[in-house]
Amino acid sequence: MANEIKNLHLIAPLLSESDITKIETGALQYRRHASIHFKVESLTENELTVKVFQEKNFIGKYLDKNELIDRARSLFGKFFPEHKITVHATPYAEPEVNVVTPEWIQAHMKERGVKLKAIARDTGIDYTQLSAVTTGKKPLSQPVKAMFYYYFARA
Amino acid sequence: MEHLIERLKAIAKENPNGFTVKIPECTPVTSGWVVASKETQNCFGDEGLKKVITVAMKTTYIVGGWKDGKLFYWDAVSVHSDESEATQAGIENEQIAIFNLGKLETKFL
Repeated sequence: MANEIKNLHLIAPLLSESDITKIETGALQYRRHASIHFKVESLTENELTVKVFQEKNFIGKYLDKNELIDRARSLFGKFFPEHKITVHATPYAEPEVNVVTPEWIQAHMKERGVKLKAIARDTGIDYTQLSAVTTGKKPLSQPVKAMFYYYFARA
Repeated sequence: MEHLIERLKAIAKENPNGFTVKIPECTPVTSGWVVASKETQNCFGDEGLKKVITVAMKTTYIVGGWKDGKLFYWDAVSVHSDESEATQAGIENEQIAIFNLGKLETKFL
């Protein structure tokens, strides 16, 4: 089993086997249900510094910076009650390419006078596949969103 | 069963960090306290998934999974709106922690 908490080795010597299992289980729950990840940055006699960040998750629920700090303090504080816990939190940010929808593509094609055949030719992507995603018949994958976003940024 | 397995594996591929869905419709579970089933601990791979689906279809009709290294783990879970009920279920299933999907917060037991 891979370590859930990055740099776990920095804190493991201070924890019992049982506490390692517990803190790892707690961290796994955060990843499994919310795509929240933890990394130990440093540990001194008095201070534990951790990084917490959230990625895109299945249920589309996200914590703000203060909430992420709270969750990290709660997780690590249980096992390091005497330490000051400093948290560097990075909330999830929607990628800018997520503005791309079938409607966005069609509007940009119309505005720029670009035909789908030209996009197929320029990108090497099959016309039928492009047609299916631009009409909404097939969902837009993240790489395809990125492709359209930067295609029109360049055009 | 085969169709459901393929759908769950497709969701798993898209969501390696993890997910929880109601079966057979495969809709996301977005609220409540999640408690893993003791019966489906250490279920991984295709055989693990089949066992998890079988257990879930006799109980809660809720399954989840997450990737760990090269393996994809699966479990059947129960979801409770009441915290004390979830806590009790967690203890009965010998869980270390349960998770609140509303607040995105782990509770150690």
